[in-house]
Amino acid sequence: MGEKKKTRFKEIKTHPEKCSACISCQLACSFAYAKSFNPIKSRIILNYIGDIEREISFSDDCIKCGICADHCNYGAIEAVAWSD
Amino acid sequence: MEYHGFAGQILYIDLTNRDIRKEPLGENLIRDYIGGMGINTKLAFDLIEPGIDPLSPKNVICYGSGPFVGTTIPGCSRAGIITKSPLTGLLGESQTGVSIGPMLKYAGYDHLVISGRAEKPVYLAITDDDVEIRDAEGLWGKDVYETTDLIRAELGDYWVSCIGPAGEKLVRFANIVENKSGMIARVGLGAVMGSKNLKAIAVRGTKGITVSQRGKFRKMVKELREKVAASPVLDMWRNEGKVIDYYIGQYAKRGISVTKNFSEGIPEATDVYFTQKEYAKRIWKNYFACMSCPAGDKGIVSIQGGKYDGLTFKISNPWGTPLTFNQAGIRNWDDGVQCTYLSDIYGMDSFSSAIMIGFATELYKNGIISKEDTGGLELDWSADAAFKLMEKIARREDIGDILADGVKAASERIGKGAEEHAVHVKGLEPTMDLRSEHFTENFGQLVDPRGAHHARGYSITYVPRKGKSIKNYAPLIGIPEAAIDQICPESELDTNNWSKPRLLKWVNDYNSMSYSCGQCMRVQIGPQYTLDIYRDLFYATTGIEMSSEELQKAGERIWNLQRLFNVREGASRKDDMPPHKMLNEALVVGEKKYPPLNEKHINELLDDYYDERGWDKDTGNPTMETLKRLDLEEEGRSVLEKKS
Repeated sequence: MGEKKKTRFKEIKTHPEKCSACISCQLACSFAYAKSFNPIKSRIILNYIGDIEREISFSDDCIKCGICADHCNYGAIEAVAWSD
Repeated sequence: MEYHGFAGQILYIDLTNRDIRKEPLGENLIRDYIGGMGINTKLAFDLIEPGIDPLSPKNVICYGSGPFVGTTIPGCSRAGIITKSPLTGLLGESQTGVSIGPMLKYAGYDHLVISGRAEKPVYLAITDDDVEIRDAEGLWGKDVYETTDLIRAELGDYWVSCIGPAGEKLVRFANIVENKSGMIARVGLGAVMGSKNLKAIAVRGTKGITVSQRGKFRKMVKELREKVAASPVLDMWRNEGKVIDYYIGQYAKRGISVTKNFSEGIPEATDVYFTQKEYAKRIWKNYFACMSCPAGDKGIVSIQGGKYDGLTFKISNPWGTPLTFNQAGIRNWDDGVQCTYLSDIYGMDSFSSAIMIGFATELYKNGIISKEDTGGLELDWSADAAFKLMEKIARREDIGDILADGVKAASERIGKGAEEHAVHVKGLEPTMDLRSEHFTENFGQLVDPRGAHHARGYSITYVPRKGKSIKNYAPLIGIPEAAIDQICPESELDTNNWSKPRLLKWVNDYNSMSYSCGQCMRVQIGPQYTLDIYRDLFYATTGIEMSSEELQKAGERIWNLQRLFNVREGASRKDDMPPHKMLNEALVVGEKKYPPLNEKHINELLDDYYDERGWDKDTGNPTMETLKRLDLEEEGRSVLEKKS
C-alpha cells in the first residue's frame, strides 16, 4: 500500500539559501488561487531576515500543488512526488 | 473600463495644500503611451511648466510602472520617474527593477504624481485607498537604510522608497532608493524629492492585478521563462561575478570603460586589480533578483578579511559599481565596495560620485583648485581622499558644496579652465567612452534625452557585429526592409561599418516601448523578446489590441515627446555633441592610442541620426511633419511655434 495522496505532491521542500527573492513563486500562487497577482495573497510566504537571509514557509491553506516549485528558476523550491 | 495589467488609476498628491485626488487611467493614454515611462512622459510634458527651477515647488514628480509590472512576465519589474532634472535642467528620467512600482499597482495606482512642497518633512503612507501624508521630522537626516527600517518599524511590511542625506541637501545627483537597493539614479531625482520635503513613500496594497487572456498569458510566460533559463549567459551573470572577465574586462580592454576622469584606459583592470578570482573568494556572497526575474544578476556582497571585514549589503550591479570607482583612482575591490556602500547610504549616485572625485582630483593636480578649497584635504587618487570627499559632497561642506551641483555647474563656477575637465553630455557624465569604437549604446549617450545615458541605446551591438548579424536582428525589433537597407547596404554585410546612428533610431524607439511596458532589456532577458512577442503579450495581459506597428509608433512617439520636452527647455543640436575632453584628447589604452573624436565625423553621424528620425539637421528638433505623423501636432506647435 502506498501513502494516501491528499495533495498533488507529498512535500514541498525549500532551499532558502538558493532563493533570489524574485517572488515568482508568490506571484504564480496568487495568480492560480486568488486569480490575480499580489504576493500578499500567496500561500507561500517569504521572509527576508535582515534583508539578506531568506526564510520560506507556507500558509495553512497550501495544498502542495507545486506551482511555486514550477515557477522557481533558482532551485529553491522542490516538489517531492509521492513514492508510488 | 475594466482594467487588466493596469491598476486603472493615477494618484495625484499636492504637498503644498495636502490635496489628494484620484483619476482613472484613460484608454487613449494607454494606446498612445503604453504605460510606465511613456505615460510618465506625457504627464510630465503636460504638467511641468517650461523654464521652472527643478528644485522649486512647481516641479512635478511623475512616478509609474507599465502594464507588465507586478505579473510573472520574466524581467518586468521596472518602474521609474520623469521630472525636470536639477542636474541637466532637462528631462530627468530614471527607473529601477527593484522598485515599489508593483506594490503601488497592488494598492490601486499605476501612476503617482507629486507636486508642490510640504511645509515640513513628510512621508507618504499609501495603503490601498487610504493615502496619508505623515510627519517625517524624525526621519530627516537618517541614511537610506535607517529610514527604510524606521518606516517598517512604524508601519509594518511596507515597500519603501526614500532619499538619504544627499537628497535632503539637494545634491544634484542624489538618488531615490527603493527597498534599500533599487536606485532611481543619475539625474538628481532624489534632490527633487528633497526639495519637496518628501523623505519617503511607503506603500502596501492588497488588491490584485488581473490579466485579460489567462490561458494565453500563462503559455507565453512559460515559453519565455524557459527561453531565459536556457540562455547560455545566465550562469555567468548570476554566479560569483563570472561575468567580470568577459563583460567588464572586455570593456576595459576595448577602451570603453576607462579611468581617472576619462584620462586613460585600464586594459589590465580585471587581470590585475579587480580579479574575478578574488571577487568570488572574498567579496561575493549570493545573488538576488528583481521581482519576477529569472536572471538573478544582482548581488549580495560580504567582504571577508581586510579593512572592511564583514561589510555586507545588496548592490544592484555588484561588480560594475565597485569597479566604477576606478574613475576616482580606486584600484581594489575592498575600497570600491566601501565607496559603493557610502554612496548608497548617502543616497548619492555612485557613478557621478566616482566621476566627481576623479574630476576634482584632476583639477587639484592641475592647480585649478587647492587645499584652501578642499578644507585641507589632499586629493591624491587615494581611497581615503575619496571617502572624505564623498562625505563633503553629501553634506555640502567646503568644495563639496560646489561639486554637489554636478560636473557642468561646478566647472562653470570654478572657472580657470575647469570646464575642459568636465566630461558630460547635457550635464550628465557618460558611463562609456566613445573614442575607441562606436556601437549603439555608447553613441546613444549623445542623443539620449537625459544626457549621456547608454541604456536605451542597448542592442546586440555591445560586441562588434558584422552587417549580416544586423540584417538578421533588425526585423525582430520591427525595422522595415527599406530602413534595414539604409542601415546596412549590401557592401557592409561582412564589415562592422554599417550605420550605427541609423540603427540607433530604431533601437531607441523599441527600448522606449519595452521600458514603458515595464520590461528589462538586459542581455539575459531582452533578446528573448521580439516586437511580435510584445504585441501578443500586451494583448494577453491588457486585452487591448495593438498591432506591432502601433506599439513601435508609440515608442517613437515617447522618444519624440521627450525630445520636445528638452527643446522646450532650450536644448538643441549643440547639446548632442561629445564632451570637450573626448574631442580634444587622445585615449591611451595600454599599447593602443585612439585619437580624439573628429568633430566633422561626429556631425556626420548626428546628421544620419536626425535624418533617420525625420528631425531638422540644423536645429536637431523634430520636424512638424514627423510630429504630425506621430499625432504630436498640438505638442509640437506649442513648442516649435514659440521657438520660431
